[in-house]
Amino acid sequence: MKHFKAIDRALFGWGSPVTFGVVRIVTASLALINFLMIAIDFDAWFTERGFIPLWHATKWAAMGDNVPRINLLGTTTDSRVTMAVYALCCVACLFTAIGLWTRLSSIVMFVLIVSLHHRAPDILHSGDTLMRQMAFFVMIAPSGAACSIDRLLALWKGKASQILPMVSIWPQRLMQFQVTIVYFTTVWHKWGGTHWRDGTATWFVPQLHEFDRFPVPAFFDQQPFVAITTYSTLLIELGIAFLAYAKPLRKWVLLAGVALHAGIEYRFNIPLFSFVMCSSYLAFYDGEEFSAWAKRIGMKLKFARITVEMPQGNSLSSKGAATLGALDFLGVVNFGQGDGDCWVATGTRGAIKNPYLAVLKRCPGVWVYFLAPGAWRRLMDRSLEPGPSPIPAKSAAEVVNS
Amino acid sequence: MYDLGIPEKYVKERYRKFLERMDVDATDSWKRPNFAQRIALLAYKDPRDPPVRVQLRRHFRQMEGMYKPVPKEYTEFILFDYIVDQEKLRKDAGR
Repeated sequence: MKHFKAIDRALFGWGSPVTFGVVRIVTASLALINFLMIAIDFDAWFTERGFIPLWHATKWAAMGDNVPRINLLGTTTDSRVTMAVYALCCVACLFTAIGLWTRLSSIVMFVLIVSLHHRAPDILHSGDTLMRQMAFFVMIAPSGAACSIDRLLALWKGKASQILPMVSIWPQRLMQFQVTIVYFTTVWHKWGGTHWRDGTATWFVPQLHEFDRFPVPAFFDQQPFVAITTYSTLLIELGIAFLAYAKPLRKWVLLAGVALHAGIEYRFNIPLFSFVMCSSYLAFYDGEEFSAWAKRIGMKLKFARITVEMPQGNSLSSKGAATLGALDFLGVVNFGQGDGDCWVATGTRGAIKNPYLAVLKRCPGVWVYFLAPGAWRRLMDRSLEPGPSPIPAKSAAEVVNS
Repeated sequence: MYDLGIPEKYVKERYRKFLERMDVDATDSWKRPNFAQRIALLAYKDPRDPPVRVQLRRHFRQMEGMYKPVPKEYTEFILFDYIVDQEKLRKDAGR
């Protein structure tokens, strides 16, 4: 019974939503970059005069197992409509990445990614497939609960607690299982082939010179190196499939996976494939671990610390402290009482800095405001309220976490 | 793909993928007329001299394995011979 309870806790327990936020940012950003790259050849892939007209996609769908497929573009041959849907998909990816109206944005992103994939199936590689699946998990997970504009707005309006909510981590487990399925099935299929068994499989790929990217020494394509890369590929993939769940081994097998994909990215031209694969590894880390990393990194960035003094007679309002604390997740900005008429920012060496810019540069959570610096200035100013600060000379993050 | 620079190659990889799915085996043969028609459109520069015929040629080398010699020359054959649909060509070109 004890073991069943442990399994139940591991699968359906509750935890920090930060992992969902991080996976959401990375997945949606990669999807956006991917679609922006393909947009250059929109005419070739998504129009009736291109390589893949609608009838082509329809026939492709019918040739498979003929199951119903999501394709909002399945009836239109008007390229203006397709282009509008394509642009909407890019907007949905952007909104999902920054976490604005996250639930709606992520649903739109997933449905449109699937539709666009079904509209031009012949240009997809396995990285696209994983990206589509990760978009599904982002959609069903509480992805906007952390690292999102939605959370900042909720904090600002006083509708969210300063402490991150605990959420079901079941979607995170699904992501991990997906990674396991990807790597286990790839090893399964490879082991069925002759050349993976005889240790020569990795010799073949470099012979396809259309994949060539950066050069490697000649011995890379000779024995025993070919056998080493062939068998180590299988071992690494098998390791990620099953050992990444074990915390003592997790870092090492995932680092091996990153090394494998870094090698692929360096040598072979497969756009975003390695990035998508490695981004899925994020699902093996708990949200609490990401938060602890951010804190540790902030502790190490001593040179980046600043003290920001508020105008005399003002203090951070509770909503202001909560919002600024969520943005300053590295904890490098200390807010304190000032005696001047305006904000004053002082670096560790005593240098006076532009307070708005200094905070903006130090808080990755604020970087989205580079798009609208005026809005950032207003947010900082409106974080103030008359009266002494209840907790002077403390970072807003400390206010949040206290 | 051989001649493209690295950034351009990164963006244009989808063409290589598409081509991979175009000539693998006979089950892909239904895709070829449209492929050839698009090639004709790309080659259509002068309305007085439109492309009338497109030949898709396959170039390949058979690699038996690591310890066997790799042929230096590509084998070549005509994969598909297509007579261009002039009406569609003019329509697609907006003429």
